[in-house]
Amino acid sequence: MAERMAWPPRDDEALASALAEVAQAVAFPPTPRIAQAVAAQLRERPPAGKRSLRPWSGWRLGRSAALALLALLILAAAAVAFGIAIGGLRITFAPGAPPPPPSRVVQSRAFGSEVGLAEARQRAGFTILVPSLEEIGQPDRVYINDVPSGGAVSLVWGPHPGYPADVNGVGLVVTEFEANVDPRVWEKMVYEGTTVTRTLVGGQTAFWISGGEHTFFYRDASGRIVDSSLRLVGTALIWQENGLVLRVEGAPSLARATQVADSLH
Amino acid sequence: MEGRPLTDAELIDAARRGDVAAYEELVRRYEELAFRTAYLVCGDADEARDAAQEGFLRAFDALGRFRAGAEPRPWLLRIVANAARNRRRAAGRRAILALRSAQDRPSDGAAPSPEVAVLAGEQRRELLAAIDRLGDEDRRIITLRWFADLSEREMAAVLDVPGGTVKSRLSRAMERLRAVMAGSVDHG
Repeated sequence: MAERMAWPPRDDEALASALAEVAQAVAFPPTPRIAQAVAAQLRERPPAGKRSLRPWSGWRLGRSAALALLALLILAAAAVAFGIAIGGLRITFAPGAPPPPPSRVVQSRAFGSEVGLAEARQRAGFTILVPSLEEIGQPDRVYINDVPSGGAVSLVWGPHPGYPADVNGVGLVVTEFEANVDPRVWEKMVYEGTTVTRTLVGGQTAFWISGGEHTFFYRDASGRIVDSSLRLVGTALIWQENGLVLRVEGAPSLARATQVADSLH
Repeated sequence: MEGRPLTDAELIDAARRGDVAAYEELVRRYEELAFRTAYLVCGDADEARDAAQEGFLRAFDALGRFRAGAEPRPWLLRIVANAARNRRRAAGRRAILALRSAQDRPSDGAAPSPEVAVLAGEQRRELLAAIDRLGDEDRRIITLRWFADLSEREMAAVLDVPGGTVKSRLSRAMERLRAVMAGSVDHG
């Protein structure tokens, strides 16, 4: 048997050997099956297209960040802190690429729980607007989230003619919530390659996000990000109308998004 | 060369061409290290799992930027640690480390032989408790060095500081750990 060590360790060398020994008996939480989960997510991704293994050079990254900053400056009139706030929604800019996509958007907690349209109408603290466009018809799924207060309702369509599926298999999403909520609750993060343009919907200022990828977060009452898994590729039209913040996501063009917006009633 | 396991460089090369199975194998080699590192950085097992997963997905997308011939360990650890730092709770949750009891020890030879076990169980617990009483920065650097077994270069990547800084921080942390232990003995 080796001799017992002088205790407590008198110098760094003695402490180092004590640490090395304890290290062998330290119990970490068991390692989850990360490789399997990572591979599953990679396999669920769409075949290499826009988000292929394109190496971003520092120069391109710099230029994209500069473009995002430029877009931010153009919108400075509406900017709050480092983003743009529309009612309770904030748009912020992030350099670099977005985080990897979730497996399916409909699993996202950001949408809340799935309910029927009738139940959503009962539970929401406001009158839900639904688009009346023949080509998409009634929403395929309706979700309600109790955050923020008054609730947020998401109407979700699968792919329809003119509204192809995004990475999550979603064709179109319309989200609505009351505009007077804390702007820190909802946040849309815009990444490199994405542009934000100011436009009008029904005479109201609106923002059209296009050309890249953006993620969506919401925070609980303590300000913690509850779910950052909702990632949308494509477009979003966001505006405020009659005390509601409205988002139309996934429309292939501003014209089509505006069409959806105009048909809301 | 049949039957020879592929090297990291070969796996990375294949993954770059979109071979998910090759990447899965690479992740398997580093998942434990990445998870434990993330755990020590963010202090929560669930967050650590998510951070490691997110880090590996990000690394896959960034394979084009990986310098051929470079060591993947510090590169992967940097990306995972970044994700873990972003997830570190505002509340400052701490990683809780426990000691395995003798029966729990894996039978694969990881358990120390009796000749090596010069510390009594009580002393091990005391050392772990002293580490727990350190400030966040000291505790993190000591656990990364000794419990996750990271090299100085890897610690620098994980902590996002220059290599020289790691050396001096570690030595200060060791000094404070000794002071805490001396104190805990003096005061019973």
